[in-house]
Amino acid sequence: MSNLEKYHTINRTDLNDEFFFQSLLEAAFKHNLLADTEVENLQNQCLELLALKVEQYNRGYSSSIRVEVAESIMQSNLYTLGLYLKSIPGSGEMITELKTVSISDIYTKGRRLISAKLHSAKHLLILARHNRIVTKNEFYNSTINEGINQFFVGYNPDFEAHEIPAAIDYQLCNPIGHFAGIEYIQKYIEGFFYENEFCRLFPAEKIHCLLSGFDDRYEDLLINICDHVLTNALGCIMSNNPAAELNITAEQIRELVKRYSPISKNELNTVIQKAYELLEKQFCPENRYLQQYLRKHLPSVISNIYTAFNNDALHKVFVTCKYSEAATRSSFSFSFGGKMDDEKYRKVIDEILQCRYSTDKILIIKENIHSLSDLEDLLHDAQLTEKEILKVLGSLEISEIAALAKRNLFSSSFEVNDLSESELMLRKCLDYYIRKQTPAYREQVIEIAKSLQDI
Amino acid sequence: MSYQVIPFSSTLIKKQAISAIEKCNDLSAAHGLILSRNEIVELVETRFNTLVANGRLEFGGGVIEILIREFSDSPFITLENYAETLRELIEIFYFYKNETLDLVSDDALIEFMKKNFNGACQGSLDLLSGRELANMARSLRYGESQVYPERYRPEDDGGDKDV
Repeated sequence: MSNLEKYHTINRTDLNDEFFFQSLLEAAFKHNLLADTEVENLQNQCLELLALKVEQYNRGYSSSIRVEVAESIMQSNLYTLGLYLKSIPGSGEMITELKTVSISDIYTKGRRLISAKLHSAKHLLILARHNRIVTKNEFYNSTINEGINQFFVGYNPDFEAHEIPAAIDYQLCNPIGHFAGIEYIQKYIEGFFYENEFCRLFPAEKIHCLLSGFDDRYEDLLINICDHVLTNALGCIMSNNPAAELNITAEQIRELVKRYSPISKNELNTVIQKAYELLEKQFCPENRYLQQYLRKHLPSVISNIYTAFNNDALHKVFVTCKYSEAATRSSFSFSFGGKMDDEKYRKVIDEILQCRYSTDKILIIKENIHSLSDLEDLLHDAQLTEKEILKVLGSLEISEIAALAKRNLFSSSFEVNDLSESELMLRKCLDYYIRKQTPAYREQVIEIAKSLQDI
Repeated sequence: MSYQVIPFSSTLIKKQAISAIEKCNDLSAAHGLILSRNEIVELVETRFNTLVANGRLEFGGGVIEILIREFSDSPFITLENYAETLRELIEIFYFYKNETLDLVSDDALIEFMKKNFNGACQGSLDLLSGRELANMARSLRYGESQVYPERYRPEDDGGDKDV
């Protein structure tokens, strides 16, 4: 029992995440959990491990090595040792491991852990790429397209396990903190994934309009998209606007100032927390990890809004979207997405054809169709009635309507006489659906359709 | 942030080196060359200082063992100048290890040193260091092939083996 109490004198949070092994040893020595001789023995073992790694590094060509290279290899070894020790729950168990297992065995376990983490990071990157958002921000695109991948090409877990050979320009809204090597990249990709998850809850063109409202040249700015989206969504809720619109007018910003100024930080905290809870309920009620990620960023958002309130600069934090100009200046790349497997597609069509009620048909479409490409095919093939097609169109985002309209309604590359009956029907329904909307909506559809590329 | 819990332990490396060099006396004794305990300690100290001066690190007996093995049969080394020659050879070796940008292996560099010490330099360490090794290092740095140690001549230089 006395041992248990003794071990608990090391607080896990006091240990440095980047230099974990060194800080653990230092803390253990300080709390008399390791004797002088034990520390010396561990040092000697570390030196033996270094000698072995230097030999491997030189591949027998040289018995000496430049000091900076040796230091880097030593750092890499200590990082690998720390990575394994970090995975052990409880500082007591960590010390026991140090006392009972040889350094070379701990290193082997750490090296295995790096391989496993590398594998998991690669998988995470696939997921993060899959849920990336459509944006023109250069830093976002270059980081996800090439920057992160450089890590997997240049990472050397045997001699430079602590290095991060990646070109990561895009900064996340929650800083990664004191991590290095594989841990850093894993946490970065994880954060990137969650930010994508959140941003994808809002239409890409809305985000584009929001960022254009922030700065015309946002493409070249080192900004965090998730931070802007979250802040404006909260601002929308505070102004009783639909959060999905992401727009707060100048008048609404003035009203917010009038309503809340002067405001203490605690009061603002309560207001934002309430707004956030509504946002969470509306957009991600079940995604606990995303909620945790966003909540971690909330204090920074509150602090920014508070500073803006005090400096009469709320319009710098809550942004008024730039619709028309943004739409005319932009040229989105829009993908209709991949098509599903033919057999699966046939099954969905058969199922719809057998359905008697429209509600069932719509339900099947919602459950099975996940790309616009498949939806377009389905609208041609499923023999839906005009009413059913209009219902389906009603469930689409404005960008999706614009994309369908661009290909089926506005395109001049086909003659009406050449169209099949189903194509004519879709064209007619699209035309009717768009005409039925407000003039502002119609105008926006035309502008988005004009700006869309790659259709 | 950096912790200094584990500095590179020079004492331990020195201990390892001394015991490794002591074993080499058996080999050199065949040529009438023996190092006293004090000379060994001095050599290890020289090696350590040279390594530090050249920004390098070495484990175990390291290169001293190879130098003893290769040079103990040299006609220009006697018991009187043995320890002093070894000391200078150690300094020359690490200096040119850096000057050749680590492109030449220990064995190849020592082979080159031995060949020129016993041959062109006729036992002169000044000529070895100031002329032969300097030319070789310069040639290597500027990509000239003439004086590379044969084992490290780049494969794409047309196979010209004349040194």
